[in-house]
Amino acid sequence: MAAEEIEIDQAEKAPQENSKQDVKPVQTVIDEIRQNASLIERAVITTESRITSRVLRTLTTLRKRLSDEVLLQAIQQLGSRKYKTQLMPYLSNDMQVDSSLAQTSESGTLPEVDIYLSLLVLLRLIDKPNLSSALELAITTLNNIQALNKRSFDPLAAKVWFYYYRIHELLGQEQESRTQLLAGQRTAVLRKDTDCQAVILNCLLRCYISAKAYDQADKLIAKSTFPEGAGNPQLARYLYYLGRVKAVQLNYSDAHHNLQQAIRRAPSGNIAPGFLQNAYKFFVVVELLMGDIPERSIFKQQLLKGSLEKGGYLAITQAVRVGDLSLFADALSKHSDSFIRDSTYTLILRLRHNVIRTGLRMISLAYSRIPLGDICAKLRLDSEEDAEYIVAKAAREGVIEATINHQQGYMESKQGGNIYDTEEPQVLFRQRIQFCMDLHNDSVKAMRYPLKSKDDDLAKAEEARERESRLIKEIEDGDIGRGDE
Amino acid sequence: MSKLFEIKQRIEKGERVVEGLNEAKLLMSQSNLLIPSTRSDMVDLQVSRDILEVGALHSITSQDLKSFERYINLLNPFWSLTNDSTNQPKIIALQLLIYLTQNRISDFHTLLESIPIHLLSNFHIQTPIKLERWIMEGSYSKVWDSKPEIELAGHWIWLAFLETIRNEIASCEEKAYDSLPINDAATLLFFNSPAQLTQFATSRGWTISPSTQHVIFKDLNSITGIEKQKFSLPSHNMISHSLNYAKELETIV
Repeated sequence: MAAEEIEIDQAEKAPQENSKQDVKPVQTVIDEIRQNASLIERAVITTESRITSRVLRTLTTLRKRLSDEVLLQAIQQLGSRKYKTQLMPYLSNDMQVDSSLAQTSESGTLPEVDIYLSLLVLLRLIDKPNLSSALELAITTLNNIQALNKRSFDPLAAKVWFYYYRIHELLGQEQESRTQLLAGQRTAVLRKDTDCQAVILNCLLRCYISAKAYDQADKLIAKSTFPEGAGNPQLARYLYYLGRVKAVQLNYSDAHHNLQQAIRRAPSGNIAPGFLQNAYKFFVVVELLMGDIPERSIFKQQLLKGSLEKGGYLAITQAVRVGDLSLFADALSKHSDSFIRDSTYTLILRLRHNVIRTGLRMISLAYSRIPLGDICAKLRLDSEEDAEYIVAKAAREGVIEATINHQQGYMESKQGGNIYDTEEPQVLFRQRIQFCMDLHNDSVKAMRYPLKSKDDDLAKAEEARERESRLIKEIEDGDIGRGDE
Repeated sequence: MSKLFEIKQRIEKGERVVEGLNEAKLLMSQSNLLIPSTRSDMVDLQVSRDILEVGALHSITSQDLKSFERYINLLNPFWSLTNDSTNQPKIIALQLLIYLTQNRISDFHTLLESIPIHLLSNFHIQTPIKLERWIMEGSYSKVWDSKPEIELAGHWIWLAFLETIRNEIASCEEKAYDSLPINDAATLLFFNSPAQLTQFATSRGWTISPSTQHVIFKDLNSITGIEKQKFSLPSHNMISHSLNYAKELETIV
């Protein structure tokens, strides 16, 4: 279940050891943090949450290079007084901090920057790992965010929520976080906070799926809508969970569609290898369950080769493709541990009758007339009686075109009709057109248009923005008053 | 809570079960036990769980499916809070079996996924799992052979189950055979006498030719079959799709 994240975490931990050894990069890391802080300030001033998202995108690379020393100095230089006392105790204090640098930007600190610093400390605590204090910090940070209630927090708050759930998961008590998450979800929806909404929804789904409460997950999906403005990574996650729930409910075509979209929308392989590997595992199984054989090229991709082959997915696919029951049973017993770990085990158990069907289809293509006894021997079935029922069922489900002659005990395949007589080509053609049109429409939607005739309007836009931000400020000053000044 | 315990002992012996259950449910709702939480006392939880389990089993014997499902919904939180009870696999297996009888395969699998791994190998739960696999494969004779195991759950469940299976087989036969001798059709559908088959055949609209003693499916095939599809043009679909394409093109250009 947690495989995807754990893999990513481990990948990140390795380079972290190295960076601890040489001290020089400390200054560059601090510089980077400071630069990010000023970016966040700009984001707040211009009310462009896009800039904050850009800062958050550097979080993963920054995370590898964080150390107590870096954080201490960064907090000294950037944090407000209140936060200094709050964050300091979490970091090991044995290092000498240059206190002359301390009082540089005291007055101008925005609460957003404080939250950003808390987030960095949170990451450091998770990596240490010091989970109990990480949880404590996550809860205080969330409370602080709730208390201040500003829309400029949203992207940061979403990250904190994510790690809040992640800590619970690492502690093995994810079920306890459910009430909190549900409350957070309600607040996020009411405030139209798309970032938090998306993240919390995903956390909840993950929580339900890890508890195997597919019923509840399904109800959650039915009752909630995924916010449209949320970023691609969250959408990819959401689609992945959706695909898994649908697969359990035997709605394979929906599951297939969702997983495919999840894979397409996921970040590239070197950023999120774990997610892609896991999504592909389910994708392969669902494709098999639909009666299709996954393309060979999937198994050849460098990124997936190891995990799919070692996990036994290649072996299972081969067994289904050949239609050999004993091969299937072998692969299943050999790799059952890995299937249970990936929680694909029960799905794969359902594949058994697909194996029989492909076998049967091959027989019906090869022979125009074959005794039931021979089918029985070829497919290694237990009795001729069963073979008759199985053939009849396959005929009903349209897997084979054949009739049975009961008195003489043979199966007779019908001449395959011309596929172009049917609607099939038209349906496929329609599907492809639909796909192209969706792609076109999506890309139109995703485009950002520069303001019309840039130079003229830029000044005007800037002015408008200033007016807007002044207005916001006035409202805020009137309503809340800035606490830290 | 000693009162609950008394009721439990009484109804487990099978005395005045309905009365006892009603009384117990009243007591439980008064002491907030119908919606259990981690704060509740473990002994209380176990006693109430046992009572509800008896209730679930009782509604099976009295053939009341709705109340059975209600009990299951009540029991679910108890099972996740207390350690395993002896009746739990039995009741889950019954629920699975009922899903199979009603052909609710998707619910069947959703429930199956939620069963903890260590319970999957339980004898009671293995039965419906095996049955489902055989049904999906089409190994109906194996299903027939496991009659005694299903009858353990209750004779009426077996009858309902047989009914579902028969309809499945019948729809397969309609496709796979042109015609069948009456006696063979009867054995395939697990009927004891041709007379029962004749009745069944009329209910499904099969023709029986009296001269050759055959059940004939061919007419059915030709009416519902491929030929009919081939000659009707899906004009409505085609027009609506073309219009849609035109609209999309318009927006692009």
